[in-house]
Amino acid sequence: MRIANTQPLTMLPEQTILCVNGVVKEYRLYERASLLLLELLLQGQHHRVHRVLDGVSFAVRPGEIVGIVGRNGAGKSTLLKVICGVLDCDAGRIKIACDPAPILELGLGFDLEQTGRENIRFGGLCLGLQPADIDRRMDEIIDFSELRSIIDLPYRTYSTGQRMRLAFSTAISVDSKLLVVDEALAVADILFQEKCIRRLRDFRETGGTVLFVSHSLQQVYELCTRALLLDAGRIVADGDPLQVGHEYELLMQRARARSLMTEIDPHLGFGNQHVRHDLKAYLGSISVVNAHGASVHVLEQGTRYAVRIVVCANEKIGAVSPGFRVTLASGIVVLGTSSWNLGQLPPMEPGDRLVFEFWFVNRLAAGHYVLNIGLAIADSAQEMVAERYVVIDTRGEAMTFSVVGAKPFYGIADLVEELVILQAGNKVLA
Amino acid sequence: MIREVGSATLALVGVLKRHRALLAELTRREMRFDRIGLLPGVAWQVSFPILLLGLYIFLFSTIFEARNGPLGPSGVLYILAGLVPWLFTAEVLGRSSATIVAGASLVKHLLFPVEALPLSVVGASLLSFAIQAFILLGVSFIESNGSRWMLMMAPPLFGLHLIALIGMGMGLAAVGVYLRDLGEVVRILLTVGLFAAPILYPLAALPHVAQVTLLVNPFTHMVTCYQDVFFDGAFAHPWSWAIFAAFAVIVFVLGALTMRRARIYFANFL
Repeated sequence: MRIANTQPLTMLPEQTILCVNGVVKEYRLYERASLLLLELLLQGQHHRVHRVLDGVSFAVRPGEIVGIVGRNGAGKSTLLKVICGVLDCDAGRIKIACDPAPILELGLGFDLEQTGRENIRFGGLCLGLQPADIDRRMDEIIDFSELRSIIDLPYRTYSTGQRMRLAFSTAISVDSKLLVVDEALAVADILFQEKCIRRLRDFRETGGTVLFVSHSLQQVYELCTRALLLDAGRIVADGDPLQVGHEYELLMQRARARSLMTEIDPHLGFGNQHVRHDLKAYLGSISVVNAHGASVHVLEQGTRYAVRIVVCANEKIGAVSPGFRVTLASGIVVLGTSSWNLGQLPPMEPGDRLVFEFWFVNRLAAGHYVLNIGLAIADSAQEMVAERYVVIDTRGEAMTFSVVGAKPFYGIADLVEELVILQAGNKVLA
Repeated sequence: MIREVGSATLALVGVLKRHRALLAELTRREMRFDRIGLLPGVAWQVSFPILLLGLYIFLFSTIFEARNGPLGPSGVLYILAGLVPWLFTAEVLGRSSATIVAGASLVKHLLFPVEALPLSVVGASLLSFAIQAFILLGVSFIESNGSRWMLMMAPPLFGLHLIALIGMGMGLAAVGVYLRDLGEVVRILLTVGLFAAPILYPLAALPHVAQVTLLVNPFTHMVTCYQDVFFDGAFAHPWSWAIFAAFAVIVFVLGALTMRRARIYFANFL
């Protein structure tokens, strides 16, 4: 993975369709629009400068599907607009091998009173299609939108999802080697999203290139061959979607921790050490780590990870048993276990810190999971086994993690390890 | 600057050439046929300008007895000759300043030919102008005292008028992005404008000071040119032709330049 810097690229890969070189975009913020006019006509400064893009450089080769991720306000949409030429940039250069097809917002120019068909026509004209092209593609667009039965009704009678479908179908019919898509798939239902993703993949197979902003890491993993992480107007990670996704998760985690630390409950820190004096023993930091011991939030299928729980003692304790529960967002418990279940109930001395690592091979289906942690103590291991224990500290929804992977199976866990096929033919019967 | 004006003009021609279908569609929407259906829409577009002209003529010829007043027996033709171009001008200018703001989402998210928006306003106003001009032509043919050859000057005059309107339309549309209240100011000025040009009365009917003041108004010269063609049937005011031609070229250049220089900021401001 290349950690991008703000220096312009001096060496360009030979074959690029798009080359963004040190692009800076500053918004001048005027309290009133008339102040700008004042500046244009006379000299003087009447604005504050907000730098949205701060030296962005990257190059895209044909056939790549590049996902751009980042927090709100990181500059993703601005970057796309600058690339498409809708916005100018204050420094840097953009070289582009073809006219890009911007899908920055869906349903541009669509009029509520006009029929779906008329809106396809006008939408296509706005996107730069010629009338003949639109007529030729009309049927294809209507079929893709699956709205043939209502295509001659006014647009206002359509539901939000149907409007989105019509708009996306129109937008994607544009002939271009480079599609620039901003969050367009967010409102579609899952079936239509899958259809759009298939369409974008087909587009890529015919040599098309896609630049794609999404807040859904899942979509980025499914669709993209490469990802960029944008933070505060800079590219902070560029490369494999899984790795960039991981960087993004870390970024979010740090931001979340910062806001929680300062605003809510300091005891809810994520991966941060904190001390409690009011309990005999308490839960320290909680994380999921990979084989190298690094904390992760995105887990790949088939790989070994551990749930790591730190337990701290203020007094002498006969036996401690930390445990965890993995649940789906819907609340269904996928797995729950504890050191008691696993037959290890160590004692602790005052000031002790024990690190418990529950190792597992990740066989979970792709999706999002919630980790809940609890800590039980007893006077001795025997007392614990006899169920005379106290649950002294809990951390509900301690953290969330995502599982990614494309292994096909049904359900929430892939428990089959091996398939053996035996010949039940003549030999056996004989 | 000459190069800038040149490329701005080229951009306009480009819109007319490459984006003809888009321009037609925008114009159709600007005319607002769809709200009430095509047939009633056209009926409205045709009947409204006729009704409007009829009302003005009725008011100023019957009630104010223009026929016996300072305008003389051809008072109706006199009023028509000035009123028709003025109504066209007022309609275009009144609608221009809001056009880019109204099309904000297009300008913000697409590689959109911004010039198409003010052009569509001019286009949408052409229909009622054409109807009124047809009436003007008919009345002029019957009532004009001057040479009918002067009607040959109508197309070039209309050309100049169009250039002036496109220029002013572009300028207002571009500035309207930054001064959102511009439309209100323009509408007030237009209301005053009807009386600030010799449309409903002859210039000679005014005291000398007022006459000089009116001559500063470029629209006075536009109206006088039209009166030369349709009412007098002679180059009665050659200076007005020169002044109006110069005015048309200057506002076109200013409008095109304003549009060109302001357009890169549009997406930041809408």
